[in-house]
Amino acid sequence: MTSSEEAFLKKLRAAFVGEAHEQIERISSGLSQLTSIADELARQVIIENTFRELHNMKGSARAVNLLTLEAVCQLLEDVFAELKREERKVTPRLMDVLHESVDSVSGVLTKLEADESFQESADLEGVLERLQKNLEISDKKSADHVRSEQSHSEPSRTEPSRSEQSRSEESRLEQSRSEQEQSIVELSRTETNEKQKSPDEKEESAESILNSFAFDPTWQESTTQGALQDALKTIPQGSPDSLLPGSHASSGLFSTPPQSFTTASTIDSTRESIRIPAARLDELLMRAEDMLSLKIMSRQHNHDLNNVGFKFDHYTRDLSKIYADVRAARQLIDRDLASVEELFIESVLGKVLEFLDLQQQQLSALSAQLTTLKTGSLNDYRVASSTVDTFLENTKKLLMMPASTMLELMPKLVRDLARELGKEIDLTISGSAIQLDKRVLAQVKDPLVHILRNSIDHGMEKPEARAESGKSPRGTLTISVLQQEGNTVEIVVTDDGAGINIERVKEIAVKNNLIDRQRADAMTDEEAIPLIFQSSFSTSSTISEISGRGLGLAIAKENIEHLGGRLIVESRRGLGTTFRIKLPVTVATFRGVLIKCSDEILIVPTSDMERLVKVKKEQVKTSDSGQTIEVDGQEVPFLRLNHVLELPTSPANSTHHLVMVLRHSEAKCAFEIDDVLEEQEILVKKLAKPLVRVRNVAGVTVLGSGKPSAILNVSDLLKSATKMAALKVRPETDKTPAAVKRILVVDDTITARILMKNILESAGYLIKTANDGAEALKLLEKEQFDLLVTDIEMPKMNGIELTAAVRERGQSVPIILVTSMTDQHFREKGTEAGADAFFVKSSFDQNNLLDVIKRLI
Amino acid sequence: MDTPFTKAEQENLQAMKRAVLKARARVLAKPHKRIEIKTDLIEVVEFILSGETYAVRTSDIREVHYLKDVTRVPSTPAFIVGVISLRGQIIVVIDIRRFFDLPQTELSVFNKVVIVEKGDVIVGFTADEVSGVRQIEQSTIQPSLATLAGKRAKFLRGITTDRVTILDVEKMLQDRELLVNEQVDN
Repeated sequence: MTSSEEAFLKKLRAAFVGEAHEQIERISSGLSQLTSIADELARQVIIENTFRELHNMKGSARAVNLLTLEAVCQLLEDVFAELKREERKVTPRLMDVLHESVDSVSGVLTKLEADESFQESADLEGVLERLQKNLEISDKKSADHVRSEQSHSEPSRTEPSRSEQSRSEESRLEQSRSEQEQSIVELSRTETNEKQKSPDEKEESAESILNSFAFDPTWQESTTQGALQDALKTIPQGSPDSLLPGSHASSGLFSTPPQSFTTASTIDSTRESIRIPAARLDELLMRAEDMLSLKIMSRQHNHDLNNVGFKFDHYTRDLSKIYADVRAARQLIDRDLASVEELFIESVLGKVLEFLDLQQQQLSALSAQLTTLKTGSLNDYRVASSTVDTFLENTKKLLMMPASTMLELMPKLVRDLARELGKEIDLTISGSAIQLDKRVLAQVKDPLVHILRNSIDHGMEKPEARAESGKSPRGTLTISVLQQEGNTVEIVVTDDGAGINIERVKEIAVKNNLIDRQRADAMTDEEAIPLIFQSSFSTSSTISEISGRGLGLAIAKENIEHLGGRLIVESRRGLGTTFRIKLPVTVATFRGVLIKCSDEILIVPTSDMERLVKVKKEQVKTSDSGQTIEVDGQEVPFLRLNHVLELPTSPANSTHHLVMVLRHSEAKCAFEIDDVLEEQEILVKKLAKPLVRVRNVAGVTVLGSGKPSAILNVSDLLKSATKMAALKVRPETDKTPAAVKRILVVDDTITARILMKNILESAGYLIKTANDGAEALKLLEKEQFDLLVTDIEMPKMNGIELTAAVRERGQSVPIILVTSMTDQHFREKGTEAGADAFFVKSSFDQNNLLDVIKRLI
Repeated sequence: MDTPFTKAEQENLQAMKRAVLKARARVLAKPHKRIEIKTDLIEVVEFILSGETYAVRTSDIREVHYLKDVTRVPSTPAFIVGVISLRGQIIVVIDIRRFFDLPQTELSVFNKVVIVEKGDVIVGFTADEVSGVRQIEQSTIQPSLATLAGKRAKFLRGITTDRVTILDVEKMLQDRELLVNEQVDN
């Protein structure tokens, strides 16, 4: 092969991998549905569709020379052919075998994606063998059939022979596709002819196919265009589902069950591609053309303005000329009126009058022109806003995808997790055809996955436990997408598990100092359930960066709120739990108030702003716990916004404070600001890397001036404010001698020891240091410590060994491991040895460390 | 010939002329320095920040811009100068001196921003002035000085003989210390 052909094959492979990922996802969800759907007719459709996907994938694999993959697809296709003819039955064992091989194929695809020259055969050879063996065992009835296949396909995998039936199946398929994917069909036809040829001849003609592609520069374009047209062409034959932008061309030919996952696109941005109906693009183009008139209009207005400017320049020039004459005349008159000739005065006066007459006319012309310009620009604004709004609306529609694009991953996830945890779960999904903005779908995926995991892990009981409480051993998990009024959608995740154990929730909340015992006892169930969303709520006893700090549901909730949505949980003991995710259909613009603080314009969501008031200086009350003001008869904490945001102080107004009262959930706080500008529509943009998450900031928006502006995260802001108020009180209580805690710092580098000592001592702790584990152990024998902070990598006895040794002696002193390595392995070992928290040096943030210490002692 | 010079003087003059021309020819005949082919050249953009000259490889640079309309982001570390909107894209602007924990010896004016890109991270480095593009022989780059211990040394490709600090953009942008990922804890 020449290098250009090789390059072409590479390109072709990349295209294949992208397509195959989508196919594999559909195949995988088809497999999951096979076990969950009871309706025979629907099952047949799924079998048919999956068979077709496998067949297509096999053909594509052959075209890009992935012969082992082709053989695997062939075997799987045969299984489905047998299922279709009802020669084989769906057994759990068979499903496991199928799932396993689909997973391996998926793995191979990922590797292919990462490395173009990756040899699929190495990974798939084993899969193929196992598949052949397993299929034999799993169903004896068709064993002969498979075996004969095997013996044929081994020597020349390029042309596996088939049973007569599957051959006829093949030709039927070729025909049905022929109208659809023209260029691909060409390939397939050639293939059909090739079946009579010898392997050698075939090799050659495969190359000639590639050549013919390589020399046809329009090839790629024609396929994509073709696919689009075909997608539209096939609509009449398909179910309403295939009208959706995501539906795959090949599924349009066959009626799809209403809830099947036939959408093509995945949300993974690394190989992002979406299918869009041509009609939507046409509409968009039309709107884009509308914008041309805006351009022409604005050029005209610029021309008009130049004209006015030119006239104005003229006027000023005339004025300055006449002014010079008048001034000269006045000087003469001032010096000696008598000597000035009357004739001269008359001539000057004449000039002035002439000028005034002329200007009278010109000014009224100018004024008329300005009026026209004013009306014109107002008109421009109207046209521009309607054009831009429609354009934006249409563009947003382009990004609308059925929820199924995100949900099709869930059956596999649920199946895998259930199996891992030894639970039996049926997943039902409904409403997956409802459309949402692709970006909303992408961002709600992780929270949804987290909620599902939570339901399976904590909600669902094991089969035995279910049987004991009189339930069916198989649990039911439902995901329903519901269209709500006013551009919102609700995703409801319901399980019929044990429900939330309120007593345990309260217990953990008390243990983590979220609430006190008294409050816990007084709480109703409705009040207690939201505790699970608290960021420090965790059932796990160790603290790691994310998992153990119980941030999971808190982050899920936060991410949903960032989308402008809400997360609500309802639970009934013994009956199950329901999570409701309320979402806007599209990435929301929201109403925001522009405020000024320390010379920056900041944005506060209008919905969080309760009041905006002017308060006299003397109305601010100062007490031990900070300042407060009275708003609507209620004492509210009062802080300066720039203090909370760590922005420089700006000069304060002498008599009044301008105060905004913010409210989020139950918390309320008053902040002093410098100024309020206006309220307007705000489009949120995510912060860019390296700003992953910033305290108190939800995102940015670009203002009309083109300058970015930070959008405040009110939930964070209120937490920060509470924290600041608390810090003000703390120093006095911390200074009492009884509160001094002793910490042992173990590290083999002197710099680290000194650094740590400084940080901790300035936080009011008493510090002792040790060089290594052995020295630390000696110190621990002699003295009492409230906490141990130790490096992991140390000579003699490392941190993990030290931890194990301390625990072995039965000492329960809290231990924090510090390391420069992020290796999960160390973390596991450390936790195993009995460490309470884990810190990575590279993310070393002293406040974070102090927070953890505070929590531990 | 009517000339004030004697014959000897004339000959002398001629000889001088020839010498001058020869010297000129020699200079002109010399291959231009820039045409010299050196294999280990790297091309960098130099910029000045608080009186020091830094350089980044041109291949790491997306563009250079006037720095205006930079918006401070509340509750961020000092090395984050703010964000700018570049054709609608939000880009974080970083003061590398503060990132390196260097003392602010001279006042910076931050006239320019050098937009660098590596992988999925795009950031802007503030600069007082961008002095231009030049080629540096890789063999003349010395590993960072011992005096530049700690944080800074980690992010340098080296220092040239004329004391230009060459930054390792890739290392900087992929370092975890650059990431800001903070929650408000309860």
